[in-house]
Amino acid sequence: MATTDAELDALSDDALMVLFANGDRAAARVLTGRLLPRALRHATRVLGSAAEGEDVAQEAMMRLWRAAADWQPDGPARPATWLYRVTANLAIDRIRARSRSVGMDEIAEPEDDTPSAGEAMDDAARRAALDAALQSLPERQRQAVVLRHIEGLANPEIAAALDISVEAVESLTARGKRALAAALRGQKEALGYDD
Amino acid sequence: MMTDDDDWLEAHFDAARRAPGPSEDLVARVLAGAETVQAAPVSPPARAAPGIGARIAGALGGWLTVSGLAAACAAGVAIGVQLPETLDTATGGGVSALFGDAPVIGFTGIEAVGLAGGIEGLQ
Repeated sequence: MATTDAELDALSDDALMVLFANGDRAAARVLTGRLLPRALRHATRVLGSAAEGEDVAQEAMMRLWRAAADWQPDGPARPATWLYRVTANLAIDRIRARSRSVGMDEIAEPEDDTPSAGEAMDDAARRAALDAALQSLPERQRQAVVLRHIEGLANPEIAAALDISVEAVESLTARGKRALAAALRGQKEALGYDD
Repeated sequence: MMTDDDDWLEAHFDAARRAPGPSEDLVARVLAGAETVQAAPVSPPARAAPGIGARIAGALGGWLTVSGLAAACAAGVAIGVQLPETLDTATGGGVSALFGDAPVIGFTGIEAVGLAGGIEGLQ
C-alpha cells in the first residue's frame, strides 16, 4: 500500500531513508522537503552564489539517494548530519577549484543587493552583505559559522559534519564570528548604510 | 549578554535563515534524481573470495566431510591414548605378551584392536 506524505511526516529521517530504499516515492518527497532547504542554505551561504548553491545541494541530495540502499538506521550518522557533511565537502571542492582556475582578484563578488548610503537594509541586502563578509573568512571558519549561526547546529553536530573535534568547532565559531562582525562593520562604514 | 553588536549580527543571520527556499525547478530535479536511483536495479553485493579454510574444505568435499574427518581423528586419538592396562584388559593380555613394558601410547585404538585381533588369531 502506498504511503501518503501526511503519514510519513511523523516518521524520522532514518525511517524515511529505509522506505526510500524500498522504492517509496513519497519518502523521497518528504525527505526533499526536510533536507533540501538546509543543504541549499548551507551551500549558498558558504559559496556566496545561489547558482552554485543549487548545484551543490542537488548533488548532495543525489548522493543521499544513492546512500539509501546501504543506510543503517541505527548507525551513528543521521541523514541531516550526513547531508551537511557531504554539502560541506562539495562546497570546499568548489572553493578550491575556483581558486585553482582563477586568481583571487578575479573571483566574482557575491550576488549583491547592498543598499545605497542612508538606506535601511532589508533581508536581501543583509544576506548580500553577510555573503560578502563570509567570503572573507577562511573556508573552515565560514562553514562553522554558517552551521552554528544560520543552521543552528549544536557543536557536536558541527564536529561530525566537518570531521573535526568539538574543541576545534568552538575555536572556529568564536574566531569566525569575530572576523565576520569586523568584515560587516567594514562594509557598513564603507557603504554608509543605516543598520 | 547580548550586545548591540550581537543584535546587529543576529539580524544578518535571521535574514539568512529567512532566505527563499528551493525553487520548484530544483525540487523537480532532485526528485527526478530520486526516481532514477529508485528505478535502478539493485546489484547484489560482491561476494568475497573464499578464504584458505573454505578452499581446503571444498577440496575435501565440503564442511560436512571435514567435520566428520575431524570427529574420526579426535576419536582415534582419544582411544589411542588409553592406558596399556585398559588395552590389556580388552585384549586379554595380548598387548603385554607382545610388547612387555614398552609403551603403546603411539598406537591408535584402531591399530591396537587390529593388533589384538591378529594376536587372537594366532592363538
